[in-house]
Amino acid sequence: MSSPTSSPAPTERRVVQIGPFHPLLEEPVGFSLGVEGETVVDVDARMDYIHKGIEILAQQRTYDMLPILLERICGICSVTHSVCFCNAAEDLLQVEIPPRASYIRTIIAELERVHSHLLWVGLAGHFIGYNTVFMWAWKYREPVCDVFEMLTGHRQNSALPMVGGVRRDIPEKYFDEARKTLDMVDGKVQMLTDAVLDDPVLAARLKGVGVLTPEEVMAWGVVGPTARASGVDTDVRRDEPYAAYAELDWDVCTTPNGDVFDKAVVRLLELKESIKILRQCFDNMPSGDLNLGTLHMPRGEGIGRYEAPRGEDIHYLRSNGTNMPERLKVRAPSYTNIASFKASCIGEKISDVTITLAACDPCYSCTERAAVVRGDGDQPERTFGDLVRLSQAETRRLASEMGRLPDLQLK
Amino acid sequence: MDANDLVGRMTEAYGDDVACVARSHKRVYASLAPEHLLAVFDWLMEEVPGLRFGTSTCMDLREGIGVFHHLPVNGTPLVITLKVVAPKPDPRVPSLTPRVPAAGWIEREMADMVGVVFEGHPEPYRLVKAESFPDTFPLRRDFDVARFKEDIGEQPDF
Amino acid sequence: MTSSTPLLVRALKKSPWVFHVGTSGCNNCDIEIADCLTPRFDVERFGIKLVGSPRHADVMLITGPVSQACREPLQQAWLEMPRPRAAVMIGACACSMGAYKDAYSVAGPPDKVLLEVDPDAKYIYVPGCPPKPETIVMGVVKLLGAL
Ligand code: SF4
Repeated sequence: MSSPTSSPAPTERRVVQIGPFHPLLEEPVGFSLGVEGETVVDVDARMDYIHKGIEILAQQRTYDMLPILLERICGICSVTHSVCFCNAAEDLLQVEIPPRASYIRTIIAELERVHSHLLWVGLAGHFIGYNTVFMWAWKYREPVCDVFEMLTGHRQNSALPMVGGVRRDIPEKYFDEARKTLDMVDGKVQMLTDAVLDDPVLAARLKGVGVLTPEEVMAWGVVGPTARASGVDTDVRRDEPYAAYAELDWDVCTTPNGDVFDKAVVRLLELKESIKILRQCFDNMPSGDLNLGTLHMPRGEGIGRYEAPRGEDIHYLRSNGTNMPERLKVRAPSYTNIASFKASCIGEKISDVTITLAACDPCYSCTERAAVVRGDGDQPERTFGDLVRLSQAETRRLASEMGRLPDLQLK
Repeated sequence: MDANDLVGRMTEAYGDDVACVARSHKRVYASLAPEHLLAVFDWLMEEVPGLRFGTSTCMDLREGIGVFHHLPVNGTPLVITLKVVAPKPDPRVPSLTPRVPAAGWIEREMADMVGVVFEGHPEPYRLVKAESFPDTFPLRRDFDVARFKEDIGEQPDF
Repeated sequence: MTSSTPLLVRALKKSPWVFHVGTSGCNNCDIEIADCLTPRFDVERFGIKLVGSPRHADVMLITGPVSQACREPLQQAWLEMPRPRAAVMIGACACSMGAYKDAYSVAGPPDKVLLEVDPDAKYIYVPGCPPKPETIVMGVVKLLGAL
């Protein structure tokens, strides 16, 4: 019954440890890459650093307190986990939430997707040495956070969702301001998309890197933009419409190749769709109740699904009739996406690993953190900073071969 | 695929071995004994196009340790949940990892949290529990936080 | 800070280099720290620079409660920092454990963990969940004023 205490280190010539902190999940990740020369031959992960036991904490919170706790699973997915939990509770109760509540949920969800994808664009740019893109994308993320703050009172943690609706209203007097911001962001996203699609250095650097085939996507259970970039047509917003998505007009974006380039393109296209959804929400905001009042949670079980910026989030809720859940299981999308590194990283060059890891948007912090390196005997140690530098040097090499500046030509 | 349709076909194929209900048009729950898990899973992979491994929940139940595999189907709102319960003193469940690698991490996590043994798992190592933690299982009902803190407090190299 | 001379402190105040450690919080505080570097807040104009190694840093930014597995790496990183050194506890988690107060695998708030190895560690708190980037910048500036 006892589990062995540690996983054996891969036995290859050198082990590079990435991590150890990865705070996107309720568990952290430390990666060890087994490397032979320049090529990655093995990937191993450890996730104990940030294990705080939120699922156990959740059993000690009432249903009203839970969305607040679940917002704190992940900073960039705060709406994700709270709304996903509400979806699970509403599946258990078999209730429909009032239309105004579903529109409010859609608005905060899509605003989150916009700022999350912009954050990813910036980081991806940073990892391949396009630091201008990093600064630009984050600059345009700020107004989106401001809109979020205007509407909900906080830059990321809105504390709005509750079982059966939303807690507070959002002020309609700021919708005009929000529309203006969206117009601005829309233009900038178009600019970034054009620049990415046109840039020959980016194409040379990212096409064919870190490819996930549709078969691998299904086998590893990969979800979200990472799966859609491989041509697997899956989107919870369309498959199992929650909030107001069924009433709105938008498309699921897929691309065929499954490499890092396509993953970037899918995210950029999705940004435009999100902005489209947001505009419709602002225009068609219904009036009415905000929530269903206090609900008694009967015995039973429910499953909630939600399309987070990174893919499908699943919550399983089991209630025993008291005011606290008997069990709440949280599966964040990165959990499966990160596991698929085994499929996408092996055989890649070590300078491509950063961007391959970043391509499924695990979380920027896992990479920005200081890496503790486990050198193998007298082997030199490497930090994640070194990996980023390697990755940026590779881009510079390609750019100078093509006689271009290693940065996007932003118009 | 429709939920009721699936329930009908599953009952036809497995009869009394699988207790299958459709809670709504998008949720199917099937309870089965651990020894049937692999066969039913293989059958579902064949029969239901777009089925993928979502995640699993582990629970300390009165009858034993419950392991619930949640299998969403791409392109439909359907989520199929396969429930197995392993009796307690030595809970054992066959591992799905040789069939779908996606199950690898979650099974390691469940082994950490409630102490189920997944038979046939290719990498049965710890995932979420720190290596220095004692061999207790935090999601078991008899888990005592105070005792746990005492246990790890005594470890000198912490 | 026994070994710090007035000259060193004055030099530190001109251009504090910061090192960021996330000890198992949610990543929201970390994102807000990175936000401080981007064009709107741009702390580099104050000479504040994010560096990749604790050995180069004067100020450590700590976010999140300390999980059992992070405890030792955090203490090591702190001891590697040259003196004079100081820490900023960013966010409700780092100040008081915030939402994770009762979590079983959390060792304690970072101030306690630091005091275990260095009884004269200097630090300030920046509460908020997460604090806005403005608040973080103000916290660092206040810390420098207090040295
Ligand atoms: S203080 Fe809040 S935002 Fe910061 S790490 Fe803790 S929970 Fe996350």
